[in-house]
Amino acid sequence: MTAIRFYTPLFLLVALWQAAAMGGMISAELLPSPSAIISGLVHLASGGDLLTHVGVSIYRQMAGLLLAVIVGVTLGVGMAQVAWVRDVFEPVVRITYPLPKSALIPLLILWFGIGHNSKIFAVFLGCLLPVVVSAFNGTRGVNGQLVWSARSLGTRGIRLLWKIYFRAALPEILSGLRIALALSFTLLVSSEFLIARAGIGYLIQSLGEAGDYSGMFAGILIVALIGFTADRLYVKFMNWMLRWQDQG
Amino acid sequence: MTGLKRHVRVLTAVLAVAAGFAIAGQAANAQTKIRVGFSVIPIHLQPLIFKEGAGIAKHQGKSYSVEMIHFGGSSQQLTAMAAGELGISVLAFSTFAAGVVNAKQDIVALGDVARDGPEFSTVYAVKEDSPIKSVKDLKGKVLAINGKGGAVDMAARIVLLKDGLKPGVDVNIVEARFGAMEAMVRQGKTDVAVLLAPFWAKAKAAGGLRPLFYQRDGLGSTQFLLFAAKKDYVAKNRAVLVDWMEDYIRGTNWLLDPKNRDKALAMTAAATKQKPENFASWAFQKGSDYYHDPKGMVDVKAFQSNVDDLHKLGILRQTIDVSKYVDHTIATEAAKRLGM
Amino acid sequence: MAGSGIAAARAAAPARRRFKIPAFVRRSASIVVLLLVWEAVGRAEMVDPFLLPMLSDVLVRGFEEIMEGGLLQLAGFTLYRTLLSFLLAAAVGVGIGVAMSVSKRARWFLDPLVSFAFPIPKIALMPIFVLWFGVFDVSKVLMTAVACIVPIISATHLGTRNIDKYLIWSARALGTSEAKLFWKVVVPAALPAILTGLQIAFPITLIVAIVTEMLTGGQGLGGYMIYSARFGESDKVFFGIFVTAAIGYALIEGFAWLRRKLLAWHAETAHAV
Repeated sequence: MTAIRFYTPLFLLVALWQAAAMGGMISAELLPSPSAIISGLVHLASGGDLLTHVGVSIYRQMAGLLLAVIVGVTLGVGMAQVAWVRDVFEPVVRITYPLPKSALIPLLILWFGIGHNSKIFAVFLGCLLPVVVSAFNGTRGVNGQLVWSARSLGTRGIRLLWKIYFRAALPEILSGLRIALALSFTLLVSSEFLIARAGIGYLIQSLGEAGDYSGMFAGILIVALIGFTADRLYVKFMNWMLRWQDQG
Repeated sequence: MTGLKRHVRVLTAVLAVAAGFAIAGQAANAQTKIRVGFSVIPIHLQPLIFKEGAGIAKHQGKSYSVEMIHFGGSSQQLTAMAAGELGISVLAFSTFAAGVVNAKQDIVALGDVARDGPEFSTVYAVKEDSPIKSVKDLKGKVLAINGKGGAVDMAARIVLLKDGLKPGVDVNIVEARFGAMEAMVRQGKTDVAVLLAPFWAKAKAAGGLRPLFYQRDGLGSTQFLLFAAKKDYVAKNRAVLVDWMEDYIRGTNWLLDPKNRDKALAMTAAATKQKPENFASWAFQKGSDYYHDPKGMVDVKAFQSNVDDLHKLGILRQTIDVSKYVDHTIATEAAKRLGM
Repeated sequence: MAGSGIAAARAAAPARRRFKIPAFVRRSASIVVLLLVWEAVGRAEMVDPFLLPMLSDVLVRGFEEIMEGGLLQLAGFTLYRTLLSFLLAAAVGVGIGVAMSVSKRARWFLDPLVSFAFPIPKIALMPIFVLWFGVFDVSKVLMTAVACIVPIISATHLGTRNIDKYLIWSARALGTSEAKLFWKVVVPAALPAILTGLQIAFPITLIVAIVTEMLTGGQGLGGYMIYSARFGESDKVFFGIFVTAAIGYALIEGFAWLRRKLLAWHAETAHAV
């Protein structure tokens, strides 16, 4: 029942879209109707190797995201706590982040070749900042009184870092991770646009290039569905992690 | 103490795993592996010919194996080739010339991929009821191209200049993706759109658009796309490349043979994941598809004239003598083996 | 070590060192080292200059480009579109995010939509935007705004959702009016998280603005870089990257400064190094 309630807005929007398409209000050439996209999806899935493309993409996305989370949380917390870490890494993160990754392709090819690694790295680089920024801001925002009282109770070193800083920073870190998770899909697709042998981004690009928009949107729909599922699962996880927060 | 160390250790482990994947991906292979680039099928025939299990390429799996890699455009192929990541690239004539002049790459053209002009020539279309009847009427109008400096842009500029119109001043030139062109001209977002063979076939069937001029009006025949490789790569792999080229030429002739058209269309649909009807009206058919040389040879005369035009339009700061950069020895030997 | 790090960071402010390296030097050291390595790699001829041109060549070429005119103007176009898109997305995005926290009905309607729209590679919709809004500025600005609005909504919502209930409850108990409650309690409490969201979305805006220029030409750094790349002129591409990095750095730095000003009262600023 709650599920039905939850998904109603999506259904409403799709119905509206379908009606607009059938009423000729949207050009079907570039934005196919939901029914055309579904038929495109069926056609794509009938090919057989769709799962391979999806699998390749998910592998790249997860690997890139995982790296970004590990490196990003470490860097973010480190930057908030240790002055030299901040001095060394903050400028580098700030300079590399706002660069469009497609402009960096020559370097990515040079360093990582044209296989998985260049895409994993592109995802990593794009997801890094949301994680670093939220970990950094979260850790720095920790209430001084909290730390002070924990110290006076004898909490020190790594235990202090873990029990106070990390837990207090957790809401913001988790919200940064949610953004990184969603971004990772976008980044993955665009990294597969330019050079690829397989992957869902490659499918979207080559179908769009050929003007097969129902196929292209079917590809986008697959990404959206995977991303949506991942986001829902993540929200459940996040609420579980923060269950102490809403109590009281 | 321990905290940071643990972090470092975890990080090292992750990096090691990543490096492991990288090494596994480059596992050595007994046959010579040729990495070949491609973009749009079936303007590029090579993904069909070297598809595993297609049974067209006789030497594939024996003397060499092929890895096909998709690229969004030919400049990325030039980059990948320079980095040693790609053996054979498919370059537009303009990218090839820029690769020699600007990027200072030691490359040669090995053979033909597709030409514009001898059969199909890219269409610059307007709406049927448009007041634009001739090129002169384009004053103050909008013309969409795919990318500044490419063949489509060059042809448009030459055609405009011939009629005394200054591109960019008298006519507004904008960029758009090929796939969006038809809808843009129909909805009046541009007055002229450029339609490649597949898009023109579709637009013609739907009606309502008419050609204003063709790419060949500006450039003559265009050596649209060609195979290119680094000189040292060719020297090192010559024997294998002859085998590869033999398979390519055999495959091209097989695909263009009207007897095999149905099979060729089915292969294209499978490779592109599109519906076969997207290709039936134009692909592998004289007049409505681009020209592919049956002997795999580059049209040196057209190539030279195209590169000269690049220079004349001020896009390339100097021209090159293309005959010095075309190496037909591989294609010639391969064609000879096939009795051509 | 981490523990002593905290202690050191803590002690740093009051316990002045005898010899203090100026912050400016400390904070630019890593960038300077990177640039030197870049130049050295080129000088040692370790890579094809087409793939990585030497820094000095890039700078010389860039200087010529600026002198010949045009490049700074192109950067200006990009910056203008970036800021316009960002302001648009920030205004609408923060509004939606707060609405989702305040109103149950808004949350019911928007939550699944946001969650669904977030992972969509929105740049793939560019052709449709061009069709609807033309080939000029409007389509680029709207595309860019749409691409960066979702992180803003998401962060705003997460930030405002977690506002301390005691805070609101006690303010209400003290008879604070609803409007006052919003401006005096809800906004200040949510501001850090909202700013984090905006901070994350800002660079994305710059990236998307440049990518839209790469896709549809027109004036701007994206068009400049893609055109240079098409013709193998990597020194120009790298100068474009250089300028983009400089703009991006300035924007992020400016934003961090703004954050410090706005959050002067907050814990994070209180013990900033």
